[in-house]
Amino acid sequence: MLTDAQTQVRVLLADAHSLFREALSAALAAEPDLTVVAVARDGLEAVAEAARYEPEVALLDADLPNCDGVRAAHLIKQRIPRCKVVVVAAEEDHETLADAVHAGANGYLTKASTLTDLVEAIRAVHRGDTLIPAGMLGELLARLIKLRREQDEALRRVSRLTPREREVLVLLAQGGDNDSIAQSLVISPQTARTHIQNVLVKLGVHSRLEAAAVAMQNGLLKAAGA
Amino acid sequence: MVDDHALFTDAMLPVLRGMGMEVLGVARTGGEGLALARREQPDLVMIDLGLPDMTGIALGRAILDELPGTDVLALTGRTDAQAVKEAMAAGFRGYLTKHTPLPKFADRIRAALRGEMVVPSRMPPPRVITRTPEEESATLLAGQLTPREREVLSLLVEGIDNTEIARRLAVSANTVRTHVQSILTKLGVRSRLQAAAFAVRHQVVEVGSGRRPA
Repeated sequence: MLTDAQTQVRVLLADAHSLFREALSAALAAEPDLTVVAVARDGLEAVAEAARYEPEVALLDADLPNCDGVRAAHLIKQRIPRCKVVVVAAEEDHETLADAVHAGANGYLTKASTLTDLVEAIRAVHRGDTLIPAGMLGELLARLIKLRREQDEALRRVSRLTPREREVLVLLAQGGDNDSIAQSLVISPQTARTHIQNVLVKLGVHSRLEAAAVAMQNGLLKAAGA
Repeated sequence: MVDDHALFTDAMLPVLRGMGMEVLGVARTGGEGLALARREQPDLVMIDLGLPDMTGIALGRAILDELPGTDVLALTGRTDAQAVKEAMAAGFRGYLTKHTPLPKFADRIRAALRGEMVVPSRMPPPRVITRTPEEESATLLAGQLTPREREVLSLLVEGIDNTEIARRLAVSANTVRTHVQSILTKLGVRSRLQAAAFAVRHQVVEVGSGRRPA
């Protein structure tokens, strides 16, 4: 029926356990407004099936083999941004939840949830809601605030750099060595070395790799138009 | 079913009903599972091994001990051989993983209900046991006995009859008959005498160790 087709939510279901996957798939298919368009047994398959079928909602087990549910969530959100992703975890795990939120997941629930909870979650994220277990929200916010503080601190350090040192940091983050940085900035390799040393000290890091990571995490590369 | 993952049990209910089974109840913890089993006395209990309050093996053992007419099956995400061994040693009817495809799951459950031992296909089936040396085979067979069945067996060895065993263990004669039948099946023997002989020959029980109720 046309009206049905218009209101159907197309779902992808990814879980390594065949029995759970098949039973849940049948249970979801029994809901009048849900259609399971694809199933996957690991993370890579989930990403491929999502790209192929463009489901409206993807249910990803957090512990998927070959690319876990959180990474699969990230890849799916990158490739099919309008696909809503729900990460289904074996148990309440704050780190997994925070990672899932960072990956762009629209919902998180555990396997202790009921089938009704899951069906409601699918409908809710499809409507545009974000679903986080109420009992986990406090810890999630605390983690996000802490992360924000750490980023602020890193930004504060980056702000101590001179314009020249910032240029050096960007080139460093792009994988430049002393000679190529010297060439790019038309300075001597010795001067480049000195700049790099100053960058490391000001950022409070011990290696070029760490400095590059700070630059990446704080969007310096984008800011520099690189 | 005893499993703390409601999502799994909820999804499995229509599947089990579709197979013609009546689901008497679902428990989320070992404690709930034991209470539910006592109340409903089901033919079969499916137990997840990773329960919040006790191991699934311990729950299975407790149920088998109390309810000789009930079979216990592990239904779990765990696939390690050690867990399979523990479950079979505890007297479980079988061990199925959540990796089992649905049609095969249905087959295996039906086999279990017919009285067959059901183990993961990657594991050696129990009949391989007969090809191992006699002593190892006996140990494996005896390992399937529950503590209660061992008690009954030790009384059998003393030549005590069902009525007296029932009195000593403070259970009904019917329960004793079920225990004895289960012992015969597990040891692969046809009579009480053979069971007693098996027990003595392989030192499954110490002669004269039959405990009397305090």
